[in-house]
Amino acid sequence: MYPLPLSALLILVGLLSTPVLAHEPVFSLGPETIFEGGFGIEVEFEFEDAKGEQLAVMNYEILYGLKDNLSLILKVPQILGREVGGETERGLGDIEFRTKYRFFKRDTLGAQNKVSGIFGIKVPTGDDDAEPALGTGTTDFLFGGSYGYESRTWYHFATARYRFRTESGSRDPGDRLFIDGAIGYRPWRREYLEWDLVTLVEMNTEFEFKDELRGVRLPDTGGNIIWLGPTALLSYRNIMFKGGAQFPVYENLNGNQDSSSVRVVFAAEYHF
Amino acid sequence: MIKNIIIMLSAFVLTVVLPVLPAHAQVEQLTLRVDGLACPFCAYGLEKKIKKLEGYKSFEVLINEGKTIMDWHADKTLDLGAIHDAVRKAGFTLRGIKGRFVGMVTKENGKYMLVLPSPLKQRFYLYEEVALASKTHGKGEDEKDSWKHGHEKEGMDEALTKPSRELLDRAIDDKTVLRIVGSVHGHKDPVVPPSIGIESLEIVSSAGNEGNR
Repeated sequence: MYPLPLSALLILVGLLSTPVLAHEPVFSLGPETIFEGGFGIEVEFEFEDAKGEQLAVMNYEILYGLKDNLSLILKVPQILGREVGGETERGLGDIEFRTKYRFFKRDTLGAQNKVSGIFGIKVPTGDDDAEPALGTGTTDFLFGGSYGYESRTWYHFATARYRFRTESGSRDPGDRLFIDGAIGYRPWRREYLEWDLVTLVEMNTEFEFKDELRGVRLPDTGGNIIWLGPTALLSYRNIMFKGGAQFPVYENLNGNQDSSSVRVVFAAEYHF
Repeated sequence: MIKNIIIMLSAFVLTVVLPVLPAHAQVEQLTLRVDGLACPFCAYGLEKKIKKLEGYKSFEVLINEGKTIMDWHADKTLDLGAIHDAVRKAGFTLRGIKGRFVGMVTKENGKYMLVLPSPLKQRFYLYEEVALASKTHGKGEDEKDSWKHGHEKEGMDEALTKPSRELLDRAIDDKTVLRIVGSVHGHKDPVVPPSIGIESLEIVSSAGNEGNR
């Protein structure tokens, strides 16, 4: 049974692209890995309003530095409320496990260039029979790569991710491709044990292929969206607060689909 | 009576104990030149790793200068490999270590060495960049081993300038305690003690007290 509104599915899967780890972009992934033996926890609140549908999620993330260039991340989403057509559901979403391997790094005085590979798997722990659904009902695989440059003043990131989605019953949800870019600026070059602020502008492009039902492509699925918006990272020692908002500056959805209007993230991250 | 005892104790401390103290300072301070330090939040990993070093006493991270300054416990030897690993595991690159050392000089097989007092007895070869000039003392080729240098035994016989050798000879004769500031590096052959490239040298205590160089 798949009465799940397609726009809701799009939004839910979109949430899986959210971030963790240090100075990486708020709405994407960066090449950052945590130090070897280090732990991190993140609590992240997300809200998305997409014409008649509202979604609020609290993500709990745990990360661990297996090596200085290899991080493991577990993400557990708790859906606080998902409202579609007057119906509201809440509960556990789809849990995701992710690894990030930094295979290139060049350190210079006050700056780093690095490139990481990303692999993730999302398992269908959310109830996809609920109305509206809390999970996609599919096991998804995430492959990607991320380049980042961080200096005392400027940041820039470029990330590409591909989400391969398996079939669920007779339905085969379309895969998704994310192309992200971000530019950041540190207005004050603060020292260690001082508050540090980095401001960014992030642009995220999402391409979603059409879903298939029993081998037939569904016309009212898939499409492209470009999100753009400001974000900020505020940190002190091993605590970071980050947040931002994004708006769809370009939207080309297939068939008859509700468009998105805004998405917002606030998060706190603690390393130990 | 009590006043006399206090005066005698004070005199004992001033004349006997204090002159001995510098000899126990050994590795006093280390300055690490760390590349990749771009943000304070990321530097926390460095704090975590440095605090696990045996010998760490206190530290300060100077992000804008790309430096980490560590005070070192007097009764601990210096493990350059451990420091290098700590920086690497924190996600950064160690480009160099400068240290402030206190100890006595000895001469072994014609080479001058700084020896930390008992019970550590850690030894460091002494050299001067200006004396080595073009003599081979190649750095490790890859980034991982950049802190380990080759140690060309043939080329190290005159690793110090003549004035320095004369000064160190007198220091050996007088059992002078010296404070030496300079860059320190390890060697590919783990048996070979680390080396200190002398940048400044100060006499801490000796019968003749010949001042600074």
